[in-house]
Amino acid sequence: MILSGLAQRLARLAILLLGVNALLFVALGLAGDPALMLAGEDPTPELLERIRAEYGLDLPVWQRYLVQLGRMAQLDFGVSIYTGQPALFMALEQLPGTLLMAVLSMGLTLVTAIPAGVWIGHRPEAASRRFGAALTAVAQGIPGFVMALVLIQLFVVRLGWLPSLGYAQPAAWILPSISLGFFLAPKLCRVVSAGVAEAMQEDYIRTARANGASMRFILWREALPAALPAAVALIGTQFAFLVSGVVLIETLFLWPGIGLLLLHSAQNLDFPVLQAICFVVALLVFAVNNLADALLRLIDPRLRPATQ
Amino acid sequence: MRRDWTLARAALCSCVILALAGAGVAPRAYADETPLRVAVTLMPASFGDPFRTLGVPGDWVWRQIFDPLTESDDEGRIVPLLAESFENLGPNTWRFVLREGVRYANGRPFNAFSAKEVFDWLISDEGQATVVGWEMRRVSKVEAQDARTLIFTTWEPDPVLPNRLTSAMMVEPQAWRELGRQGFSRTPVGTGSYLLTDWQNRNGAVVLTANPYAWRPPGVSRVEMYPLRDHASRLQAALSGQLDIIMSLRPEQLDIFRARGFRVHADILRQILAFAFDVTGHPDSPIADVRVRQAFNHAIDRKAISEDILQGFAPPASQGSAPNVFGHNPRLRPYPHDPDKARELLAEAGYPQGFSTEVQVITGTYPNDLEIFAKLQQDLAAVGIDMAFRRVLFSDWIRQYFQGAWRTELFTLAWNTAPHNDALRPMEQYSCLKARPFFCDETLRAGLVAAGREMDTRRREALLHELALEYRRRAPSLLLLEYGHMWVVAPGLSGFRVRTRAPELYRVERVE
Repeated sequence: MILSGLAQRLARLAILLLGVNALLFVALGLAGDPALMLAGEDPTPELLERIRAEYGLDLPVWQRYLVQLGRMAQLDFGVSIYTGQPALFMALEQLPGTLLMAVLSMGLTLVTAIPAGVWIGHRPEAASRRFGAALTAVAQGIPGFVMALVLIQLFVVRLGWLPSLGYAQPAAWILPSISLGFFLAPKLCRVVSAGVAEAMQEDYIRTARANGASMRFILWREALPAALPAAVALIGTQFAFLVSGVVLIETLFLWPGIGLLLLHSAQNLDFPVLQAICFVVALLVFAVNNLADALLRLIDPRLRPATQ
Repeated sequence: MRRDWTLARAALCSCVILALAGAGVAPRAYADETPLRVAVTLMPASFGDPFRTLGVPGDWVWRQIFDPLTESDDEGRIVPLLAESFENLGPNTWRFVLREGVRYANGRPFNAFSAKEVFDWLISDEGQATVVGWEMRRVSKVEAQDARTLIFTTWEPDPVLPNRLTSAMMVEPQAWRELGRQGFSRTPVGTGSYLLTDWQNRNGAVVLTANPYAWRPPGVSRVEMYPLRDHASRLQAALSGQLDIIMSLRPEQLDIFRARGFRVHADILRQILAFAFDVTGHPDSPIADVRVRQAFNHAIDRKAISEDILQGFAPPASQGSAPNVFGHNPRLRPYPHDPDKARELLAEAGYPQGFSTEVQVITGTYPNDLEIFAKLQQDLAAVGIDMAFRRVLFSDWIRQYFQGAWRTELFTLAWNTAPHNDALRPMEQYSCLKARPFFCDETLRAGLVAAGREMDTRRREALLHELALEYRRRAPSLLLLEYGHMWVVAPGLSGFRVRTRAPELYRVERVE
């Protein structure tokens, strides 16, 4: 059973990678001829021919696609057309920065959104909770980069408390995490609060209260677990969004991550690097989604296969 | 692969240490190790391979690591740099006498033999495929007469060879050979004041450290260059004191910096902002008529754009070159803002009611561009031309440029005389001499060819003046403004200067 489940997942991964690769192949084909970018001004036909031959651009489309597929199977995405460095290495080199930002902002999202969601969901009709819910609705509409600009203006320019470039110092982690956390937390907060509010109406909660259980126990041990499946599904999606590279935030904070490399490679039509980035991101998103699935099964017995 | 680079870097450092010990060179001691933090808008896509592209953004980094034989001085004249002198021996021969005692950052000597190796590569088949190699296409042979003398022989007279050499960086030939072009691009070795330590540290910065062998030892031992393409990020980082030197701020923000003790430097090598007319690709369009193109030029109020939008930093352009460029015709004045004349010309051309057109623009390349576009739209609408602006990415723009197939009747294209500082280069771009021309007037060809071969400076200057006038009559572009980058330098720093469109960071010193 475990083996067949694993095989199923691997098959899904293969389909995902094939799909991503095919889409990218078509999209990049439409973007133009990289040989023209490489050849510089007024290239001679001979030079263009030489460059096309060097990068395999002179082959028929189907052959190019098959060659590319074969290389992908060997994790060979070729070299960057600008730097000559292996494309996969360039993508992997940026990964720590992206993962650091993802973990930090997700961590911040969890520690703020879950307690806030529980607090609002406990008594959603109370004026303070309604105000809180309204605030989260407003916050949800503010894009991360807008919050980033405001935070930089306040904490970097006006007060001079924090740096805004890179991630060498831990102090530089604060503002990007808050910017992204501020964007992600309201949605999670609303999902948690809705789940908790719904659970609070259930008979088992009423029974627990009748039996004298403390409100803290009821909220955290009884109501919150009922809200978790929806929350975990959302967290999975949000984490997948973060690992796929947050271009604007990485640009604003000069945070060396996949988003910056993606932007740079797209602007320069650096096809091998773009393909390597998409491959790495697809793998990460797949891994995160599967992790979220596994977590969901762990916390919700109804999702487990019947034989278990 | 990372290990390979680390090893290469370690090997380079070891070589430097051993060579220093052997040569008994005492590197300059730096009491203050605080890095000089410089914000630029982009980094070179090809890292440390200085032959892949020409000019900026590469020059911002490469000119710290490498030196060419010549450079432009403050007046825009071509002067020796790694060369001590140069002279024209005949129509096809040039002699360059090189500076003595210069060493590469790995301790190896720079001399005519090493320079010859570099030029031999540039004129080889492989080198000719690079943009800088292509600039050397007229060179047939380079000979090292002795350790200090290089003789260049050209296929045909090339009056701007010394200008072309401003972009030929002297890489260390042995490292180039041993590391290969790709390996070298990660661990470049030159004669410049700085040595590359890291292409991207955890702050996203390129890190440069003082080259112990530098013939021009830097005033600050360490430089961090931050590629901040977003204007707001540059501004905020500068205001918060995270940067010492910042480029491309908006003119209206300069007073804020001046009030804080910053100094403002403007590039003396200016390019001419313009929209080119794709006459070749749109032969049936109104823009194929010279009167229509002249009407465009008369419709624009350049003075208002210059003074109101750019605070006077970018004067109205009169031709395709700025005043400090060789071949600039001082007798020409900018087109006067004359909407009546523009309407008259349109009517004569058969468009009394005007027409609609479209221009492709790349945004974010110079300050306040959106405001400028709005003003242009307004001025053109006043004479009946309804111009729509279509934003394109640079990658899309450059693809159309190389293919010579433009989707719109107008597109953004500066008249760029850098780094050669000679008016001929952009003229050739706006001519039948370009492989896939967008503007081709056969009557200009003879003049362009003659100016490209004339070795007598005065006669050549006269030819370029005449060509400037002819181009003005034919109006192949909507000329806008003369524009150069602005650099803002924090208080406490002295010696900053921009040459050949790149900052000379080695000159910067911290002062009390």
